[in-house]
Amino acid sequence: MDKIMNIIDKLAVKAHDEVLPQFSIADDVMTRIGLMKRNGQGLLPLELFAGVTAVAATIVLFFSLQALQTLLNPMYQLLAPNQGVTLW
Amino acid sequence: MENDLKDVLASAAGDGEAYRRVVKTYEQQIGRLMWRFTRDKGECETLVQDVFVEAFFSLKSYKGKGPFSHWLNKIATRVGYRFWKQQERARIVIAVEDFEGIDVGDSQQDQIDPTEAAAALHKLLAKMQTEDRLVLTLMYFEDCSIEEIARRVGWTRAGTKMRAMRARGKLKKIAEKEKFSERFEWIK
Repeated sequence: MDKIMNIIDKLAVKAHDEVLPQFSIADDVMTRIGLMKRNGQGLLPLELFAGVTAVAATIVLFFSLQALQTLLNPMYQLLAPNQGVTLW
Repeated sequence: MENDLKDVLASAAGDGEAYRRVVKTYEQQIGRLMWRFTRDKGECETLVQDVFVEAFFSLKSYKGKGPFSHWLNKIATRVGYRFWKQQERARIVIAVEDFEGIDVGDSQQDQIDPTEAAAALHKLLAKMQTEDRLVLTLMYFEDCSIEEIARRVGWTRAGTKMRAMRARGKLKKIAEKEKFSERFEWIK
């Protein structure tokens, strides 16, 4: 192993002896959980709204694709050419 | 250990006091791990909180197959990774000159303070791409094996091994660019 990686490995070994800060976060965690639980209750109408929107979008997409297929179908043009065109 | 599991199960059933006990049991362990992701005490505290909040809302997915601490470490690694990704997006990088700020203690030529060693390594790893940084952080600071890293991160063993190898190569190049060996060559 070359010198530079040797130095890095030694630094890593030394770093294990580092004195780390102490944490006491239980109260903060419980407060955050409580807040999120309360806010979470208000999420249901939003989810419902998102669901209804998704269903509506699917229906619109379904009919749009059908309409698009009709427009692009060459057979349709062969059997009923220029139906909607008024010449005079 | 058995009490821990009892508390975890009670927490999953919605017992807040049981979860408070779980947090108290594991907060130092998670704090130690999150310290590897940021050396700012305030940021670190927020990350530790994030881990326990995320864990609380995922408790139902804990099957009790392995130790709870392993499951928690996995969440903590994910939270830390996400934190680095956010930093990367915000383009928070450490300037080269910041290595100058590390007090290498010139009076004790063969000694370096563990905190300074950790800070130097942290700054060096911060110059890497997030995935590489994650592998090497877990390897160097947490003494994780390839299997353990793969399990925590959710990669394959072979993929993790390959990434670790390449990451060490990249680290070497970065260290050379930063003249790392000149700065720390007195380390014996």
